[in-house]
Amino acid sequence: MNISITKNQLFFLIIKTQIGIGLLSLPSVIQHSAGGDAWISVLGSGLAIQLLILVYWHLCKRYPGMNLSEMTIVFFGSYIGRSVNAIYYCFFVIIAGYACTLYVRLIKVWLLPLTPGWVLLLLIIGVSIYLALEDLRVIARFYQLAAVLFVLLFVISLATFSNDIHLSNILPVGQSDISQIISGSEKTFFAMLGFEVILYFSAQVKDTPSGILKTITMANWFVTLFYSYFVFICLIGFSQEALSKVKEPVLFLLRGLTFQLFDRLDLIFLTIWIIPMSATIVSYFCLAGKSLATSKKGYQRLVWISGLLVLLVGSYLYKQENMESISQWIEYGYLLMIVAVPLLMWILSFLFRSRHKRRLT
Amino acid sequence: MSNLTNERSEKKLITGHIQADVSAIHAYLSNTEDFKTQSLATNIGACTLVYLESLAKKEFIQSHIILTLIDTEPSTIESLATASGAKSSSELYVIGQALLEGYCVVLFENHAKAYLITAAQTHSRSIDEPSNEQIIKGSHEGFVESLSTNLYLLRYRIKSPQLKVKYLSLGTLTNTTVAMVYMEKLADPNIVKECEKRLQSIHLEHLYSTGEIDEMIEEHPLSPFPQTLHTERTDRAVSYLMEGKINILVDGNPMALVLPITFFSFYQSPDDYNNRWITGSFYRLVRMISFMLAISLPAIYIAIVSFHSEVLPPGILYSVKVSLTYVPFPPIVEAIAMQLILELLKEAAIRLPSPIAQTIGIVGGLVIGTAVVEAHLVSHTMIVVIGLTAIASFTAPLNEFGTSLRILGFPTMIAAALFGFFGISMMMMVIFIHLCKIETLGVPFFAPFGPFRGRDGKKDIFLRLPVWKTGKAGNKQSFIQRWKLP
Repeated sequence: MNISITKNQLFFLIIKTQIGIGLLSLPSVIQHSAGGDAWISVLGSGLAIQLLILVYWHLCKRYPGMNLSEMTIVFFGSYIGRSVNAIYYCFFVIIAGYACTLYVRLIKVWLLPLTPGWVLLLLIIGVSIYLALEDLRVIARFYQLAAVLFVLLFVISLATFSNDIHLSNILPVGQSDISQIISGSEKTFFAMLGFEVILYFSAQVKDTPSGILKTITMANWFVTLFYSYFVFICLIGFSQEALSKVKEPVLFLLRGLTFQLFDRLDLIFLTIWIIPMSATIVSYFCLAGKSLATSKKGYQRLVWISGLLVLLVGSYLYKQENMESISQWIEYGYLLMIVAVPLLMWILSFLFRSRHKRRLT
Repeated sequence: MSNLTNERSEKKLITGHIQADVSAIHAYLSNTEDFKTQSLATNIGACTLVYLESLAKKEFIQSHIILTLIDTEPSTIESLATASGAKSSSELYVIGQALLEGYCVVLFENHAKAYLITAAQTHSRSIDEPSNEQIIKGSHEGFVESLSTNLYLLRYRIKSPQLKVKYLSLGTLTNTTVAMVYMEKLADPNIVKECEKRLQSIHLEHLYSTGEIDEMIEEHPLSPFPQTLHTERTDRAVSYLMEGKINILVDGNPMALVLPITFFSFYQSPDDYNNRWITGSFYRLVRMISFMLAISLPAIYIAIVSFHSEVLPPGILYSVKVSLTYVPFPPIVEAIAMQLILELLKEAAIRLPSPIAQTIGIVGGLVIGTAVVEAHLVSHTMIVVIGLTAIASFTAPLNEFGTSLRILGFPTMIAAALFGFFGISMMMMVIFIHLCKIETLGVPFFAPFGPFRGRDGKKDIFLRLPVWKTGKAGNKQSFIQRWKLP
């Protein structure tokens, strides 16, 4: 079950989970609050995540070779620990279902307006399960391979510089209040989620704690810079007015470009973007499996069950007209599960230090 | 099968009465008529030679065995046997098997032991270049059917005490000799052990080719990708040995089965190393691109014309749409029909003698190609797309891999016809996930890319950097050892 991975693989596991569907609509979302300084918000959010992953790292360092689901049992005892894990399981399934819903909606709007949603949902879940059933090493291998696509996406994004660029859109730097920038950061935070894989996967990395810290820090700043780059090109490509009207500004930015051989770069971009989006869902399947199962067989069975649940959750959410309130609830859930619980455990780890040491040895 | 094992376990022995023994041996060999006996009177008593005339070399028996038996004056039978280097046995099974390997058996009156002297005739094809793996520059040697010649070819190229050969006999009826060849220090001992274990677990009545061994030992029978590499080129086989891989040779088959193999081996050709490194690297990149084209080009075309025609700028879109106007079929039908026609032509041309095969080429390429377009059955663009795809799939240096690619093209086309670009992305994901999943003998198939080994990857996988750069000169660990896991 606990096959070791390299820290290099951990890097790709983190970035592939983090970079997903959130980025496409991010620039217009944070632009609402932070205006021309939205790119600073992204950096601020990266900083906040950095603090959080420091806590994660310290927690993982203190309980080496343990992932979150094993830690909860050490902290809260067998019964409460297991129920906490079950809550985590439900949480990950809901997140996967939510991500699937956004994903299917995006595909329907941009690529396949007539195909029924459940067919797309089934396809996405099927492919994700095909990968999620394997052990972490295989998943990491695929992520490494797929990371090459980021280079391709970056190259495609360079083409947007042939549009009209208005650097004045972001000037003067610091035009928004600090509070606005912070509220922008808060929104970015929810688009950059996925670093919680550290809590589950870093236990399997064969390396020194400082090596792991370096890797997760690098992963975080890679993602932060990648995000701020895309936010930046959207800010200079669109006026604030236009940016607030479009839903997926990153795609719209590419839409206007024309070349001799092909048009509609946005469709090509989205076709490639499908793979990172699916990777995010694979990661959540994997997290869901790891949060409850301990053996390989149990894990695989759990992934199948999660597939079914995600299908149900996804098709329920897909039918909802108004996603606003649901997103709000999911954000609260995030704060509780990803921030509050690990922080609590971190603080408890200071109190229970001696007791746990005895138990671990 | 059970009969044979019974005979072995019964341990029938010969008696020492020539008449009875000869008929017992004859009966053991199903009273075959190429069974020959020759009685001689020597000065140590009467003796009889027994051999299969189809297997033994008659001149050799005449000039060496008979003359030695008649002329020399040894005191005992034993001394004669040691002088001629014969093996002895009194077990009927052993004698029978020896006869089947071309031995000449000498029986003496009142002596319950038979002497086996090797007299096998060897016929082998001359060593020439395999026609399915031709190269421009470099060695033109290929394996032949005879196992000993093949082993000679390997030993001739690697004059190292580390080169190790292990023999196995597989097939309960055919008793085919199989040789496992590897470099003792370069090959991973666990891989060697596992490979041997798998070979020994093969239970077949007859074994003719490396293909059967391949099917019996591969790990993922449902995979469309070949997981072992068959080569007829000696230089290729040798280079894999030097990477720490194992070669399996089957007597009677001009192929070496190489394992464990990785995906990228199928895209390397000895030509790369005989050309300048820039040329070699360029052609490698071309082949890599051709891999993607062979799988996805028709699918992309189908997706564009049936879902996302806005991807094309107006100029190109116009000419594509015009050529599609009179075609009554959906693009997927066009594409699948053309692919099948292509496979038909290829299959027909393979087995025909080359003058007729050329005619097929002309009829297929020119007549069908133009006529099909003029009859408005298939669009111009589709012909271009299918032609490009076929050429791309033929660039794989090993033919079987190109075939796998063309087969993978079909599901991708169907996915594209159903879901457009989204379908292609999903199908590509499935293919690459599959590539990351499979392992052969514990070595990831997609190494060094998934798991990523950047340093090895760029030196001799995508590019072919100069030899002094790749570290192949004097490297301590073989690639296989480094790539093993994760």
